[in-house]
Amino acid sequence: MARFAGGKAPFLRKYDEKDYGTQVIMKDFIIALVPVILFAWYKNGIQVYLDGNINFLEMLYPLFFILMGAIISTTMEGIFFYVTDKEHRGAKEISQKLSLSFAAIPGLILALLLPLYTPIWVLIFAAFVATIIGKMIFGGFGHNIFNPALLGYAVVGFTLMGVVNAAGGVFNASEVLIDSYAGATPLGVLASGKEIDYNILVKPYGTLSNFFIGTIPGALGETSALAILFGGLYLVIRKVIKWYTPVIYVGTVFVLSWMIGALSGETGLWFPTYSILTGGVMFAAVFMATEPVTTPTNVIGKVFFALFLGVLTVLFRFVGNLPEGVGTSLIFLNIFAIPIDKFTAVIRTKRFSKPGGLYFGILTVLVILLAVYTLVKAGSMYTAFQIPFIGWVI
Amino acid sequence: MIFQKAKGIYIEGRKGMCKINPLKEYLSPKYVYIPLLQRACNLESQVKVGDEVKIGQVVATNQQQFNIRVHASVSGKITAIKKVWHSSGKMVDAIEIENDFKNQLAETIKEEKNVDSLTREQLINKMELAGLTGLGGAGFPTHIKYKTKAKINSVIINAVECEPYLTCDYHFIISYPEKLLKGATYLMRAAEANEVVIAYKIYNKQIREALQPFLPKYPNVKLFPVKNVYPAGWEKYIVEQITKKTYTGLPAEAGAIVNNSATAIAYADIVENNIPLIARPITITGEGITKPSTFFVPIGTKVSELVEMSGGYIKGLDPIKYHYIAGGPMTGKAIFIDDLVVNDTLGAVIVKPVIEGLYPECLGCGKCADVCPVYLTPTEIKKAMERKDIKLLGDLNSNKCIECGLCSYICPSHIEITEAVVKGKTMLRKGGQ
Amino acid sequence: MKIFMKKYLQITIFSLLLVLAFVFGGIYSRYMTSQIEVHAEEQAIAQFNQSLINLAGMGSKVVEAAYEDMEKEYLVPGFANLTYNPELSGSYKILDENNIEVAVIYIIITVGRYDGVEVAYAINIETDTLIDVLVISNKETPAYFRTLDFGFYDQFENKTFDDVVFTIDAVSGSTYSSLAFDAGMNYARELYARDYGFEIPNIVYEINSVIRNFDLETFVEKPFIVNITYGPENNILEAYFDNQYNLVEIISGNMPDQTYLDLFKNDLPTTTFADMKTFIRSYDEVTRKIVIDTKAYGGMTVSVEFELNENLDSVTGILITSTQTYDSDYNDLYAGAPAPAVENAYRNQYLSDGTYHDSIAGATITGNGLIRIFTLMDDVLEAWNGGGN
Repeated sequence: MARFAGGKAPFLRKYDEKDYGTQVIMKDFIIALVPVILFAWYKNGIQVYLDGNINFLEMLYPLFFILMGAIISTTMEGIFFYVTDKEHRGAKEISQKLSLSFAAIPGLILALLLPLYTPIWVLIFAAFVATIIGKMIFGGFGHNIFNPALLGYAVVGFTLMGVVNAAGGVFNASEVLIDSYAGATPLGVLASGKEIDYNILVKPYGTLSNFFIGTIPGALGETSALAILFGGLYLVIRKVIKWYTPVIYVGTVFVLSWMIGALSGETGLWFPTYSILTGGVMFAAVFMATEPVTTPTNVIGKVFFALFLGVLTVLFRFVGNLPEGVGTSLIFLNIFAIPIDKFTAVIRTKRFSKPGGLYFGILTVLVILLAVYTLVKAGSMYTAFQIPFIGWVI
Repeated sequence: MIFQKAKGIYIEGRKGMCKINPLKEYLSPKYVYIPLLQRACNLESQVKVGDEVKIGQVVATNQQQFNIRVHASVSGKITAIKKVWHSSGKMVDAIEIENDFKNQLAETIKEEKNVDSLTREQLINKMELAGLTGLGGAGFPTHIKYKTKAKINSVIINAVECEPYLTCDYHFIISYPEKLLKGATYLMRAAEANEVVIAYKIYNKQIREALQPFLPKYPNVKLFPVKNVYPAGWEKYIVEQITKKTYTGLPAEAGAIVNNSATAIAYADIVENNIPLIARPITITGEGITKPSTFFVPIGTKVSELVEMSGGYIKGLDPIKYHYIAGGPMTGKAIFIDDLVVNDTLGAVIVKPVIEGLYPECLGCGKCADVCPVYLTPTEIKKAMERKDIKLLGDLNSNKCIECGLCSYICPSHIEITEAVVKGKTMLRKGGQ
Repeated sequence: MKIFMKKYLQITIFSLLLVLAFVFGGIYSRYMTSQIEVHAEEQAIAQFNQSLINLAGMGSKVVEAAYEDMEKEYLVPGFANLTYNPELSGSYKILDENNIEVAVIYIIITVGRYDGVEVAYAINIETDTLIDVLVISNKETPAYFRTLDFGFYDQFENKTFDDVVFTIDAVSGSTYSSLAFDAGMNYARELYARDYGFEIPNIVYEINSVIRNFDLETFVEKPFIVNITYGPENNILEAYFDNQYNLVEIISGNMPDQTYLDLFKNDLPTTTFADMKTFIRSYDEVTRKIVIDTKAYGGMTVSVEFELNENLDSVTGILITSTQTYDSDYNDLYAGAPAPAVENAYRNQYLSDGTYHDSIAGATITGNGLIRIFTLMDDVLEAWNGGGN
């Protein structure tokens, strides 16, 4: 008689196979970030170097800065593990914990969200907010409510943007020379000008293909839709993310922007295209709206999350006067990921029978109301267009 | 997309290690232990220590529930009633019979002369008397299924055996192809159905090849290949595939009765020779077994003997680093002590290594919900279970879980999500009462 | 130490990493920020260099050259004997794709109305020509400086250094500024001659004497008799020159080359033998009116018409035509009445006692011009009536 190990069915786990598991998913996220990182480096380092505007040491900086985000975040979590757990302070134990905490990803994303000339101490502060406050305080990986990187970025955005701009801001050494930029990012132009005009919004930055490729001023990682699409495609192929989350999100922003454009008499498709190619919509769509921990888990939840996110992005961007409508709406919706998940899970099982139908109705009505509110508000801001009386009510 | 149908997922079969070795008959163990437990029903022993029994003699019954009968699987003397490990994971009382190797048959075992003229009631009665249960794993008394009032169109023989490692149905079918077809036809008659459909996994060409030569003689039998996915052998999946109809309670709602292929083979003997259910096929396999094999053994045989016949455990096996699983790897139970006896539902014993590791937290990827064949949302059920939110558990249809194990299987963070959902299901059942 | 390391190794490594990130990363990022200004400077230099290349219209690369100033004095505009040395504020070589020098640019600070006319002179070193000029900075009166139009600047384009008379036409109203360019251009040629072994065409000649012709018949058409020794063979020329310094009639000697004529025309106005800027424009025998011109403030002509008595020995009336400006707003040294007070003062005094007024503070140039005219008038009267000489 021999004593065998206990356990619960199933005894077969895909986790035990090679090339599967959360570690692999997180590795895939990093791989998907590679084209974005490389483009950021190319645009802000290599290309500027080739233009002859910076020296070799400066050429290396964008890459250094992005990698610094990962290193600092990981180090901070290491210190956190050391400080909070007196029982397990061995090098092996901490490295095991770190390997299951995936601190590098929020660090990388954080660095990609920041402008090139962000002082390192600001990055350290942002990483502290991101990993310690945004993640570890909540209980570590899997328990955080807010997207850690986004939280770090938002805190910097609200408190230290002046410091960042004083240190040089988003413009690389080639971009400052381009007179037509006039020291403004595309969304900054929209937010300050409140005018939908191709010659004002797009022309100074070239054509829309520049927006797609990413050769426009902006934070390190958010400008190149092309590089982001490569990463997104990889994630979809690897089944790490669902293709419809980014598509619905971007689609919602596209349609609502088109409608706002149309209300102000600009029916061209350039405006919605411009709208989705600026302000990090693409980056958020692929890397943050799909971030599994802080977004809903089930299919219907993801769909509603993407819809809400799209509407709120447009609302904050066009009405709230915030160029960073994307980040704000994401942080805001992170709070609601858990309830959305719960209600949509009921919808998923109960379909339209009680109470699934009720929840479905409430969510749908909420989305539509928000969208209509956004259109009315934005419409009246960008044009003389007014719906009588409604303006007084809301 | 939104209300997606889970299509099952491919899981590597790992059946090869056992498929290469043909079915072995091992009908005369020294001792057999007839467990006094069947499908959560305790049985009353009908014999005393010291009694002589013959093969096929009723040794235990439970008349309150389903009229369960259990028969002696060898002839010999009752030597004790003692505790043995049962595939349910518990120790249960069992009747120990010492084999006298005389193979004396009970009087009831005799050839049936007028097989062709048996009525539906007679056929169902034979099931009841023979104590026929589903040999696939659920162990539901077969005669209860056939006493349905619904109009049955198809009898479906489940030869899918979708769980990895298992090969007992496969070996049983290719060893007794004609018996399967006969048994299936009798089942069809017992249900007064129009056709028999044998569902098998599409890559199991050997099953088709074994059955093909006999098919002309059995015009009502059709073969139906299903995809190589898990849980393709799930009753509802097969019924939906074949009848294109869905149901909420029993397959009879869709005009179908589903039986395991081994059940059909056993039924052929029941009808023709009145041999009750006293033996079944079982697979002894896994990485921890030297020469994985499939056996046809009397019910009550000690698994340890079968392990010995399979070459024993691999050299240097450290038991505490291995699982000893009663049943399939997806739905079976881990048994701590390898002192298990074969009962009617035990189709396999698998000895496979425990893979240990540090596991990350749930990241909320939603893969468990994506693979769930009954469209549940395991993560939310887990949360509701942890909060003891009975209403939410109900809203989330926790009771529908079929415990297939796919959610735990797919989980990239190695979370015991199936266990949590099953707990939620139990909580709902108890809370709901 | 060993115990400490064993106990705190992990936290030490992490802290060290963080501190390293802070220090090293901080230095790196501060360096990046500081580089922004450096790049702005580099960019300004690049733009400046590009403007130099554009000025030269050739080559693709600019290299700073370390040429130094040389001693060379030029007249401060408006002053007869005050000189200054121009300042070389920068010199650049323009190289082509093969790093061969194709042009040189001197940036020279000269004096116009005020100090600090900084102009770049681009020189083609193959053809020894001035390619073009570019004003870098100036402190001149903007209203006047603007009158230097395209026509003015066109004079510099492809101007060869081989010209003996190496000058440009001044723009009236902005004469001093024009002179600043003129001096700079000449200084550039001197520098070029020194740095690139160019020989400035140097034609030997000497003005021996200039006397006025007071002959009643001819003194308007050929007012000056000039005696010059010129050329390698020391030819002597005596000839009449008109008031535009053109040779009118040879008295003795041979007709010189046009080069010499241009040279004479260029140099005669500044000769010290006679005041050639003051001359008799016309004489009417019937009305006995004689008109004498000179250049006064701003190079503007002041013209005085004298009416003589029948004996042609005294002045009976004076009419002054002048556009001179002088008032307290314009020149705070001036304290008198507005124009033409100065002219009237001189006229009245001359008419009353035949003497000249002292120079008037704030209007010295105008006054000096008038004094020159009256002096010439006296000389004419003396020549005609004194008879003796």
